Amino acid sequence: MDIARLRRLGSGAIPVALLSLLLLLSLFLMSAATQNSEQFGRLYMLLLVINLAGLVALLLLITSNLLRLRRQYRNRATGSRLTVRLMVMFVVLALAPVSLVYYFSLGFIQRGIDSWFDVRVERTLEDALELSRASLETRSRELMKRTEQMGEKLKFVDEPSLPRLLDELRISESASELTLFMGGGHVVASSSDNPVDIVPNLPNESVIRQVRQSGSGYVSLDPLSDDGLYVRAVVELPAATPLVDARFLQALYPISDRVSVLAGSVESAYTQYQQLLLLRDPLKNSFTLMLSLVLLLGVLMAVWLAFFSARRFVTPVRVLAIGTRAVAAGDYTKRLPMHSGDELGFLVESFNDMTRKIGHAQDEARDSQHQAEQERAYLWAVLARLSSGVLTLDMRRTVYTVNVAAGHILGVESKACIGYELDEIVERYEYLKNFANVITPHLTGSGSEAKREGKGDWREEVIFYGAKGRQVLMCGGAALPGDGGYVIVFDDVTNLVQAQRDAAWGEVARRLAHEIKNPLTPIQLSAERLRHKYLKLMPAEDAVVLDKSTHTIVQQVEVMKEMVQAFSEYARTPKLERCPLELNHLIDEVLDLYRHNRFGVTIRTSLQQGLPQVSADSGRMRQLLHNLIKNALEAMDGGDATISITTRAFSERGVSMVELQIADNGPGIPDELLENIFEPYVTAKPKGSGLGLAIVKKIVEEHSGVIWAENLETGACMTIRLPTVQSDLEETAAAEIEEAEIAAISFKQQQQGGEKA
Amino acid sequence: MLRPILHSILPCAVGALFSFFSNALSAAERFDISQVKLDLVDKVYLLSASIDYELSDEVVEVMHKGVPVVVVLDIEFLRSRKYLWDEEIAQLAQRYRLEYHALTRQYLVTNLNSGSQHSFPTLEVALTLLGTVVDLPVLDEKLLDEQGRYIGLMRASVDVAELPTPLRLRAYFSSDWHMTSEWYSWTLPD
Repeated sequence: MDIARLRRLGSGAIPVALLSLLLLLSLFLMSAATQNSEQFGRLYMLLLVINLAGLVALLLLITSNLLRLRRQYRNRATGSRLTVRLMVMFVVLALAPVSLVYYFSLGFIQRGIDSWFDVRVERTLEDALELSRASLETRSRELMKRTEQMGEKLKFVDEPSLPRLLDELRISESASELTLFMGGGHVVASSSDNPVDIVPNLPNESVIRQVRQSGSGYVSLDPLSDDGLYVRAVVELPAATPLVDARFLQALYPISDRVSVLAGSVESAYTQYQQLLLLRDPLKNSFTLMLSLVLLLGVLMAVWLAFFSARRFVTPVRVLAIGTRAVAAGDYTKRLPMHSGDELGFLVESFNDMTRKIGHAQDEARDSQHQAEQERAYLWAVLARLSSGVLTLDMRRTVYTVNVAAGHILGVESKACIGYELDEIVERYEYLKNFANVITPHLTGSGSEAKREGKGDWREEVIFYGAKGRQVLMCGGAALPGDGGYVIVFDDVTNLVQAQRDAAWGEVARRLAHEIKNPLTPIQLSAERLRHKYLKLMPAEDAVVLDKSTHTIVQQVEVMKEMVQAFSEYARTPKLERCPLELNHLIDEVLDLYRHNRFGVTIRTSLQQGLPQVSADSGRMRQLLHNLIKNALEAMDGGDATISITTRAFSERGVSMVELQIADNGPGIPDELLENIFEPYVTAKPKGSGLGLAIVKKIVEEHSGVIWAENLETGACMTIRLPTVQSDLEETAAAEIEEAEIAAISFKQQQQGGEKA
Repeated sequence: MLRPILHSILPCAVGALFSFFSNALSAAERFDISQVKLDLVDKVYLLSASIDYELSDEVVEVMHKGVPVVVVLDIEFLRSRKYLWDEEIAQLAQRYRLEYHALTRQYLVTNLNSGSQHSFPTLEVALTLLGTVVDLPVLDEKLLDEQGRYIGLMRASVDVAELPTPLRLRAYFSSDWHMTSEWYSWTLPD
């Protein structure tokens, strides 16, 4: 049998019933015992012990229950407060009537027992006893006299004749026994009316001593249990001679039956009354003790039953409380055991019903959440593999999702952007300012407002100089339905635009060559032929004109040819042959051509050692340098012209770059031209094709680089930035890592979404 | 309401334990066995003893009110064993009833074992007679081995269990009623 079962048995209804039955039985026996004094005597002590043991057992039970309740109360166990309240209520309800009954019962016992006693009865009994005594004493004195007379007769009788004389005297004096004996107890002669009594009933030594000392006789009433009352008279028979011991005569006279019976009844009545008087207080105490025991038993039983019933009553409530807590903690699988068919049972059933329904709802919610998660993961997988960048922002312009392509295009870590506001991101990546400026005006109003106002999707081109150089993005966006925020989709069309432009310029160049360059040769040939044929024939004056005119035609055609040639140079897009290149090395080579001071210019170089390699076409880069230096030389109008060339490597936001600066001390670029100095045919110089800087810009862009022009205090300055070889490699690696992180990001977002829900 | 409780519960329940233990610890030995003699007559050991009985005032008073007092003389014989507890070979209880006869003002002593009864004019005389045990047959010689060593034990006490019930409870816990001698022991053979 395990402990739990034992405990259940210990607190169940059966032991309660058994114990109550036992105690009730003992109480019944006790009350029966008080009715019958004989049984009372036999059972009293036993019952007392049993009841006291029962009391102790009950006390122990109650104490353990109380301790348990106190512990539960301290631990704030469910239902303990209610149990305490019920307990107190039950106990008070039980104590009040019991105390009243106890108080009055005590009074009844006191008065009931007191009413048995009466001073007059006591007095009367004493008087009766005294009367009996007086009457018997009178009789005794008479018999004493007769004994003394017998003594006189026997004083001088010889020993042999004594038995006969004693018999005669005994019969004549109607004594039951006559004995003559010596002081030491030696019987001289004896006569008895009962022949069976061989041994005479002698007085004890103290009587003999008393007789001897007083010299007179001794008389007393002796109660002999079998034979009723006797009068015992003893007299001394003085010895005839001093040599002989004195002898004593004892006579026993029976008291007549009637007197004996009367005296006996008076005596027993008196004794009984005296006993009763003596036992008055102990009796009261006994009854009071009994009553107190009964009360204590009753009260303790009531307390225990209070415990029992309070616990039974509270059990369903406690179960309900525990169930409620479980539900509050999110456990909807808890089913409470049914206890009864009453209202509490109904409550428990309703609770079970409720938790079952909540549990179902919870399961459904979990299913749909799971579905949503799957859909989200699907969406993320699609987004991750999209070549277009996708960016979503919430209503407060906080970045919600960024796919890999978006991070790649914008040159940002997509992971690091999620959860940040657009402005914060722009602070971190300043080159995105242009991008932000373009999209910000579209980030107003919710999807529903946009729908209402008829504002649909928008499309715009963005050009900015990012980590990968100049980039052209085609952005499109829309407000998401409801308050879902905004979605922005963009493609990097840099290469596309470049290709389109190249194709356009190529077409122009081809047309020019076809439409312009082709007729030029016949024009030139015709002009030369005119000159050759008619110059000799013409008069001198006309010949001068002709010579001049044809010369002009030929010269201008030549210029035109050159122009077309330069233009087709610009429009031509030879395939780039990129390979790792030491920029410093190339610069040294190119500058060698200009170091002979043929142009009267000073060239200063400040080249950083150990510059990282750039991936570039060396021929195109050479052309770029030539063009820039030539442009600088042309810009300066003689004097002590100085060109300073600087290279340095630097890293910006994880992108490693090489920077090349070419500065002159010329007049600088006019402000109105600064904006589009790199466009074809924009030039501040009187001569030149206007394509030099355009070609430079083209080459830089072909190498994913950035170029800009600015006016310093000393003169104009061109700055070129080119990505290094490593930077390219790093970018691809970063992209791969990002792809792997997509899942993690999407998971995090789901969680956030879940929490918000 | 409080007084009856104090009168009943306190002496009975609370004071009970205290007085009981104080009795057991410091009970005045009111009875005293001064000498015991054993004579072998006709293969039966006869015991003669002298016991000094001294009754407390309360006992005397209760007796004068007509309540008989029973005095018990417990006699035991044990065989002394070396490694085990002593074995009981004989045991007897001699009971005497002492009562006061109000009508004749005599004290009656009844030997409850034999039924013989004697009356005495004074309590002292009655107690003296009660305290003089002469030739009481206690042990058959057959029960004793020659080699064995025996211990005789004797004690005199008032039997509280014979008192009327209401008195008994008080007597159990009252030093006035706790009257007994120490166990008097002697060895056999001498």
